[in-house]
Amino acid sequence: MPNLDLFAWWTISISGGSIFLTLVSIYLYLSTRTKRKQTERARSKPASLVKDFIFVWVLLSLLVFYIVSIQLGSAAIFVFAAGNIIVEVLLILYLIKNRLKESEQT
Amino acid sequence: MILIACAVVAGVFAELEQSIAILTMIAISVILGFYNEYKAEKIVENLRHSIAIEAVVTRDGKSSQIDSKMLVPGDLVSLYVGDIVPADMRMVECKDLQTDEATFTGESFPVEKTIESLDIQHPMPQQLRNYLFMGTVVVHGSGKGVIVSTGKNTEFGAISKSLIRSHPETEFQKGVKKYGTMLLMFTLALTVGIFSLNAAIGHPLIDSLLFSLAVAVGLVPELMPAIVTISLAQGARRMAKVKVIVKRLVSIEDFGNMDVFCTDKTGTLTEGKIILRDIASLGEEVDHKVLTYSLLCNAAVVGEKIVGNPMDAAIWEYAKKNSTQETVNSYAKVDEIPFDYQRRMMSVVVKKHNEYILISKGAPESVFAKCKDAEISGRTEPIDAVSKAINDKFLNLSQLGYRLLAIACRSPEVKSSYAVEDERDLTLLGFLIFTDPPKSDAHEAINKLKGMGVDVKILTGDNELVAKTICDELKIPVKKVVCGSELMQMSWTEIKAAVEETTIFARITPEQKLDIIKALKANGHVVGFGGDGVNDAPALYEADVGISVDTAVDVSKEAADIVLLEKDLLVLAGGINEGRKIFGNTIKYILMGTSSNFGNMFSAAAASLFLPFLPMLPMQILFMNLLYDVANMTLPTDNVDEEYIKWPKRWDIGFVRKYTLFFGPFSSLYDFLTYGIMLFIFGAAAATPGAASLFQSGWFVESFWTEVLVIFVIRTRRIPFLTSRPGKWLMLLTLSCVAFGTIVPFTLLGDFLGFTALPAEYWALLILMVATYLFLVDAGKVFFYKICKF
Repeated sequence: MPNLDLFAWWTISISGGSIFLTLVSIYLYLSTRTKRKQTERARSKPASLVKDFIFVWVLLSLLVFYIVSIQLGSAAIFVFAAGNIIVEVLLILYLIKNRLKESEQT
Repeated sequence: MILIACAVVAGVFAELEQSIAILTMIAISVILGFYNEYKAEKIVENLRHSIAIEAVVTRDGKSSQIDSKMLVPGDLVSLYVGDIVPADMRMVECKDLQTDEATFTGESFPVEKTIESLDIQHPMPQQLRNYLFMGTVVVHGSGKGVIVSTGKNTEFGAISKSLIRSHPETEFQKGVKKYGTMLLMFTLALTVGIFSLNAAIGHPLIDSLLFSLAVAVGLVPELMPAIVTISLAQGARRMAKVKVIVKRLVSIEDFGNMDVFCTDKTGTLTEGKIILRDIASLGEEVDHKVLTYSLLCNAAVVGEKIVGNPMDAAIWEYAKKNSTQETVNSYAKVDEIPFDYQRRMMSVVVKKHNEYILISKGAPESVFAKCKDAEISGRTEPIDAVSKAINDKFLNLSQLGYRLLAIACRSPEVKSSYAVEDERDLTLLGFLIFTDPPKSDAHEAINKLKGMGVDVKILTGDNELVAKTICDELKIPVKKVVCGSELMQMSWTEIKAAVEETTIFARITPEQKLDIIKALKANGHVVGFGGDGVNDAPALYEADVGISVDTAVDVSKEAADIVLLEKDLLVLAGGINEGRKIFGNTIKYILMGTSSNFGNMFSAAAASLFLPFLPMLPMQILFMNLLYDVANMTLPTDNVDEEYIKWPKRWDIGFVRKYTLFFGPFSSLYDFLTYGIMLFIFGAAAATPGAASLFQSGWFVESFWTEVLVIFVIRTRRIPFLTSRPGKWLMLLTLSCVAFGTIVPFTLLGDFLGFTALPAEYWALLILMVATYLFLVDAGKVFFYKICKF
């Protein structure tokens, strides 16, 4: 670890950014909750939360992965690269599954 | 201003080199912005010129048509129906000239003009019947006048301050204003915050000030005015190709987003051209004499083209179509008693085999008054005996919107010339039924507009039966019909409710047209109004988008925002599509620029707190900003997804704010990640001389790649983003800019800007990182568009 203080600062910054994004997502989700409730009454709350916030779970997992791999320093290059490739494959599968066809858009 | 402040601070307190570089960037930005705005203005000027108001002027005995702005006192100007009077003038020639001076004197009836001298001491302008005043409109007749004063020296100019009202602010203008305020708040908060924190943790004050100013600059999309203007101007040029001329650029957005279109029926739903629909004899059998006689009693000049009164011309068109015009060849014309407005009829005397026939044709009530008999199925009966049945038939046809002419005849005494007194004791033969036929494509056009989310409402001065007949013929569903008299009894709340469910407003006054538009606007609609008459001008002004046609009277064209070169709803639909594309591309720039800049500057601000050096030099930030703006220059030419333009959109500042807050941090996260990589993998944390430059180079490239490449993700709502094809110029310029930004650290320019070459492993990681970033943003879109509708 070349500079512990700097690393701590960096960890705080990147975690802060992720938390900020998560909070914005929760705020946006809650601000439209009433409307969603009317249209999606049948859906159970826990399932809905897991599904709707999938990108947040990916984001937080990536955060942990990035912090851990970068902590390894220059030795982390291959771990970092492999981790990115895995996440990309998972994201592409998710995007294909959730693809928005032209007819579904308004 | 912020950039200039940066240059001054750098020049006074830091390095002259940095100051010069900043000033160079200001110059490039200004030149780019000026060039684009100039080009846009030229396009608009050319388009405006094609519909400029012109006047027929006689100078040195030669007549020519010139721009009315070029008129000077002493010019002799000719005026015709529909012309706006371009200056104050003394009349020297009048032929039944009447003007509408409502905007000038409040007089709602047309004012008759004369050339005679008036003997009035200290006359009021409205007493000057031998004068025409600038801004009034010729509603009848024609005339010539000598210009006495022009522009601000006219009576109208003197009181124009109280008369001229500017166009109400468009939805787009309101949106841009709110966006500016939002940006100002973000900029102020970040600048003050960064400066205070940097100063508080011990960074040099000048560096802190320069850096916070550079961050402020980074937040502002400098080229936004140029991008918006060029987007609008290029759109206006594309719209001109589909025969839609834009007079006021800012109205394009509202044109695309309009959800209610109010229009008169004439020329929009109907052809705007009179045709002879049918011939009605008084009996059950068709009397061919009616057509033959109406061809004989006809003032049209028939050559290669048929010229003359539209009804007379329509009779010839009908005869030619049915090949019956030869029937007149066996007749010889003896004399003609011409049409005049008092009698409202004309007559001819013709001869066939020494038999003289006087034929009269004219307004039914005028001809009836001169009839003694009526010919029904070959029998002649006294007109009094059949007048009720004939009147009923006449009224029924009139109420259905048909225009009628009556044909009558008699055998006159033989003489060489005939006069009005000979029009007596006529025998009524039948009617000619004229109509303005429905347009063949009006049904398709209405359906198309409906499919685009635009509700069409008909505002007409005609009676409800006429409007209903046209709608029935065109199979246009009519929800409700409201007449002007009913509207007059309604309260404002009732009018607001009525406009939502009514398709036809019949027998309405110009003031009621205004009320309807105001009520629709108050209900939250973006309202378009199509009109071509003098009385339509106030409604054209009031509507969010005033739409007129090239053949409209000058006053309507002047009040309109958009002028259609063809009065056709399909042309309108084409224009709306273009408007939506322009809105789509403008919004793309705003969303991308704001969210990317916010993300980058947010991460720069955070980094400045814990790094021992500036994460990016002010000059580097400005260079990146400039390069990003260049990459966006072709955004106005980008493709817009079909589904995006299917429905009208509204500017929603709340959406822009949410978008910025949501997508901005994505780029910040990857900026932080790059910090980690540069500091802890590539050793930029070490206190070596080149560490800062390596860090800044690494972040510059990553930041630029993510900022520019995310355009392809954000420009579409489709998921995955690869299913939407970007415009070729956008793709070409964006990728060229990415390539240029990538090689900059290896060049002399890179040295000048303080960059250094990056290691090979960095590029491999960068590609993987940026790919993850783009897919993550795309995944974020799944969540965002599920909860934020726009």
